[in-house]
Amino acid sequence: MSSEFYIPETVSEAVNLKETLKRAFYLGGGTILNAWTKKSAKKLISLHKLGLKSIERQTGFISIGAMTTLTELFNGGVMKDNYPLEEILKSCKIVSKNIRNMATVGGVLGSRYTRSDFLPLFLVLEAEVVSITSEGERRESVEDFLMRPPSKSGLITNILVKEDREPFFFKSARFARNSNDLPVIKMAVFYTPLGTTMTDLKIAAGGLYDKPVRLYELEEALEGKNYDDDKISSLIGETLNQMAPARTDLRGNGDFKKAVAASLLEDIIAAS
Amino acid sequence: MKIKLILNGKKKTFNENPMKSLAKILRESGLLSIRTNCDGEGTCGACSVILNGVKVNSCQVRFGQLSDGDDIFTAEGLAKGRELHPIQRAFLKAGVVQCGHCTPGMMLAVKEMLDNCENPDIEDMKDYLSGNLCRCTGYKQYFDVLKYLKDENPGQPKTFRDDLRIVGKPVEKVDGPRLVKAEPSYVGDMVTPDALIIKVKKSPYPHAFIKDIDTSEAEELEGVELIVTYKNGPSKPYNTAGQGYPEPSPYDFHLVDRTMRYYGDRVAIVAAVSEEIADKAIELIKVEYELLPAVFSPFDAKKPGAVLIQDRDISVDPLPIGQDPKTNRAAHNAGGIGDVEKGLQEADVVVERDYGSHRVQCTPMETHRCFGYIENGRLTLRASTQVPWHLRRIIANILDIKENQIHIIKERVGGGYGSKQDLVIEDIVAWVVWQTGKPAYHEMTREEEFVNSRVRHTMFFRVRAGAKNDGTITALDIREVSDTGPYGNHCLTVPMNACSKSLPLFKCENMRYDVSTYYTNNVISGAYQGYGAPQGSFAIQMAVAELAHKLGIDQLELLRKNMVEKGYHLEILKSLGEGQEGIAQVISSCGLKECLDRGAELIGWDKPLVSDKPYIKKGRGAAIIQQGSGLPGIDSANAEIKMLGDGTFMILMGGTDLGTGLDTLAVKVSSETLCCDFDRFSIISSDTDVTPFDVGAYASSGTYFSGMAVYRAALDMKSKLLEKGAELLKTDLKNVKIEYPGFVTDGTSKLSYAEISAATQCGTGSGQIIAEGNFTTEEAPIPYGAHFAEVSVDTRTGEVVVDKYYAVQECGTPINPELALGQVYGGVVKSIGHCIYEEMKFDNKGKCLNPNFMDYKVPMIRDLPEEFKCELIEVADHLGPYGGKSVSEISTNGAAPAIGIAIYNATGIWMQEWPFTAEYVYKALKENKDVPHLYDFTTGMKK
Repeated sequence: MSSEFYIPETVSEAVNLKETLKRAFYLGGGTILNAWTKKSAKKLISLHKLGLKSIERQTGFISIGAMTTLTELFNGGVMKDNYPLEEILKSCKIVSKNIRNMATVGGVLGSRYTRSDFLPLFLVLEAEVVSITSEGERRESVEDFLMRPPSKSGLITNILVKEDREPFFFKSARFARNSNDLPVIKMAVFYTPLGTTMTDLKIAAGGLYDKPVRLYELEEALEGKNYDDDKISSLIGETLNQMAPARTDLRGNGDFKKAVAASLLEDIIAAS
Repeated sequence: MKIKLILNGKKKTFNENPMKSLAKILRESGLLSIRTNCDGEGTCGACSVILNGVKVNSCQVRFGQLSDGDDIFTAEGLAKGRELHPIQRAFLKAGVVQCGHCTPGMMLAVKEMLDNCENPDIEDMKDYLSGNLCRCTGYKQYFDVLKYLKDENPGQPKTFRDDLRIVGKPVEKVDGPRLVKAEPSYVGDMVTPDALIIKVKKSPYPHAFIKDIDTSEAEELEGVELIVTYKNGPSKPYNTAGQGYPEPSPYDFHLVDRTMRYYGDRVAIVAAVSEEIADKAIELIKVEYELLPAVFSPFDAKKPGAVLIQDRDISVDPLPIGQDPKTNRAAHNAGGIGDVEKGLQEADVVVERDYGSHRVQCTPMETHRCFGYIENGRLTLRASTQVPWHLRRIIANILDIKENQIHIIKERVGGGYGSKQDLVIEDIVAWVVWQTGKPAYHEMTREEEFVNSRVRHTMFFRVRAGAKNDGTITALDIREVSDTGPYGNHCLTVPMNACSKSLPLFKCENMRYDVSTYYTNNVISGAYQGYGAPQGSFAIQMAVAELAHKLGIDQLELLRKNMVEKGYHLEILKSLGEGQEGIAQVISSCGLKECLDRGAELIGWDKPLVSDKPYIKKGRGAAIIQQGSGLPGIDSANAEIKMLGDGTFMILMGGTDLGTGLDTLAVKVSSETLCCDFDRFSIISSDTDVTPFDVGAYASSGTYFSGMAVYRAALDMKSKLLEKGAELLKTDLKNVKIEYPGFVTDGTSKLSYAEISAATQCGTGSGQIIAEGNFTTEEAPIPYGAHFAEVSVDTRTGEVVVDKYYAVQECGTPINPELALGQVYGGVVKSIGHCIYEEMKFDNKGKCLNPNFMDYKVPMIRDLPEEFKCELIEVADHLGPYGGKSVSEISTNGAAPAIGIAIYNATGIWMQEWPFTAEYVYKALKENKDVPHLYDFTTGMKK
């Protein structure tokens, strides 16, 4: 198959190309698709002329354009000034400089990597993905988006993160082998504190299973508990042990990963 | 498509395929600062450019993603003509330009930081350099770059030898300017457009016999020039290890064999006019395999009835090294001093433990590359090699031609660390060029570098150590089983070095070793910085620390009581030779005590450790280390110095500079000896047509052997200058001396070197003054050191964090102090990586599962310990040039035992294998016991 490269000028043109071409990929920053080893990506639809870079306030949301690089996100004034999402900005800073300067928010979503520094955060924030298909615009939760087969994803235009939900607690933690590694495990927690009680608790993990997921069993077990409860640690461990086996891969077996997930969760809650 | 770009401030229009990578386009347009070392994964940063103000990996940008007016800045844009940019100057001053392959990317990282930060600090440095891999320097001295840019004094390195003018003082290395300016330096920079591109078809099985191979379809492909298989390749066996002849390694390797012995072994070599055609041809080659049983453990390989991996005739081997292919044994040696059993009986406490290590990769930034062509009917190879002369000898043997028909040019080497002591691809290029008569180039991908280059030997030890209640060590007994993989390059010498660099640290009267190496169907083992010493150091130092624990004696106290000192007679070295009897040594100088004392002071050895979290346990550990300085009785080196017409000099040195600063050392030694300035010397090194013989860069021989050859050449030049000066001044030889900056004087009159040169080179003169130096020896100085680590262990996950690391070493006189210090930092950081996360992984078919930097992690700048310092202390020695000893390899020997002992002191569990990955430590903590060996040493059963 010969290589083909397309540079649409509009979103609709890009979507039409994707519908027309077989096995074509949307190309964002290029840190994934342009890796030389990914020789299967022979047809690319570059999104660099579509804009999709704005970070702006919309009613009740911060909208982040899909082509916003992680560096632009980190430097984005709207994020810094209007919405205290330090965890997202911190995660931008974890990524190495060269990658941060190229990788886009849309690419982060589109990659669906389980070992993602961002997807668990978007999951607990109940962020929404806006995408365009030939059938029109679709707005859905990140969780639903991740359930959808990649071929049915559409063109991601932006992600919406709810604004101003104080008081809240939002924190994440990661375990990686070294500083430029994708996380072996990434955990994110969001809840509304009522005194020392955790309410409306949301927990998500990357690296534990084949895709980043909300950990509903843990949320249920810990909902309404005091964050300084002595039994939190054992509750976390017991609940994780009852959950489906974690995936085993090069970075460790499932038991080890659950132990890491438990420790990260303990640390996050201890920071309440 | 056409795009108008701004490239380094100038408009330039490119017309390229939109799919093509920006890296390739820039490289093809002559910008040599763009280096592609990670298969486009974006994990090394060597192809960095600044695109519209931000640094990106150009290998990950497609041309079609660019737009008219995009602004691209590369490292070539830094210097203005011959004038270096302040960033380039700061890099040279800080000593961070070693092999130089990462340097352009690193400089752009600093530029991006300066462009974006008003007053950058160390945290900014870590952030902006976070995407750039440097394997040589250990990163620490990059922080000095920032200080130099701010006109601050970084306070290091120290200077040494106040009695000397230039030796022991920092200077800009002689090859520094060309490296920071990205001038043509490396093999890849020399390739001509007409070169054939070589690719290799690899075995998909760990052990198989090729029943038949059909290349007809591939050969019909237009543009395919040559395909080499077992059918038409040379039949001569050889060894790929670049070692002194006769080599202590078996001749068990063929250019292309009919039997495949590991996953990735050579099936066929294809040379074609382009990479695309070569790749296509490889796909068209049809192979019929007969699968054979495979063994992946040396313990399985040694079992009776195990499949034989090298069922061959050993009469072709150059030396008897205990090889027995009928039992898969590649090498064996045993020996010792005293009576170990008696020593153990006399002991009040005995430790008996098994230790093991896993495979790690050298991962030089520049993968293996070689370019060859015919010139005047002779074969020329431009190679990134540590051993130009061994390369010439081995190639002559393979091609069945004479050495005078071969010219090897060692280009700047983008990192070697041992991997380039072997012929990994040079034999392939030589064969293709010699058969086709056409220029040809081969460049390994990063994946090939992992699979087909050389890895550190997996070694298994059973150590028995005994000591009396007063702490006197009475016996050290080490049995070792090593895995050489399918071929026996270095199969005796690396495993032997595990003993010869660990046992002689102790004044123990009863020592014994028994070393066996077996063939397996794993990837090929070979040389890696330390050359077996890190594995042996781990085993012996851990056992001695456990002795101290059992005796209730502080570890440092036990070490002080038993460690060697200046003047001690190392009888054990007599038996620990390299395929022949070794030479017992008397220690010419020893800084062990000073290193140990200083390290203990830096880390606060006696201070209590406090953890603020119950699940975080803290501990400290230490290790004493040594290496050698070349191989006395085996190595040799030569150099020449020619006087030029204006009284300047040209040094021709056989020694091989791998980025370590050997060329600079040669110039400094010459400058010091001949009492004139550094800039009056130029140097050519490692060119087999131009420079004299040297064994090459391995066994830590550079400073001592190559340095002494240059020193002797300089002394010879001095002697000739004095003789000629006396003659011209019409005085007696005893009345003259040389004087800075380049005169011969009798106290009243003086002649400049230029005047002497004019007098000797003119028509009535006696001819150009040419001096020679040769060095062989039966004694060599030993460098010593002590490393200290402080760790935190998260007992919930097994995560080990190295909080503090101090390395104190002595190399006699540090001739290039800033470069020597950089090598210590580099060795330490590499070895911390080896301890915590570096590990090659394989499936049950022997296929490497992590042959890339995404899955095999190496330390980056943000991975340095929170407190991290390396120091050099000065020790007077009389053997080397101005007292210099080796410095680099030793640095890799301390981390594993120091960290392993620290983990014990934190958790109460002795580590028996490394790396100490979180998962491994987690398992040990969970089971609350010392983790058993991967294999039971006696039965060979997998645990």
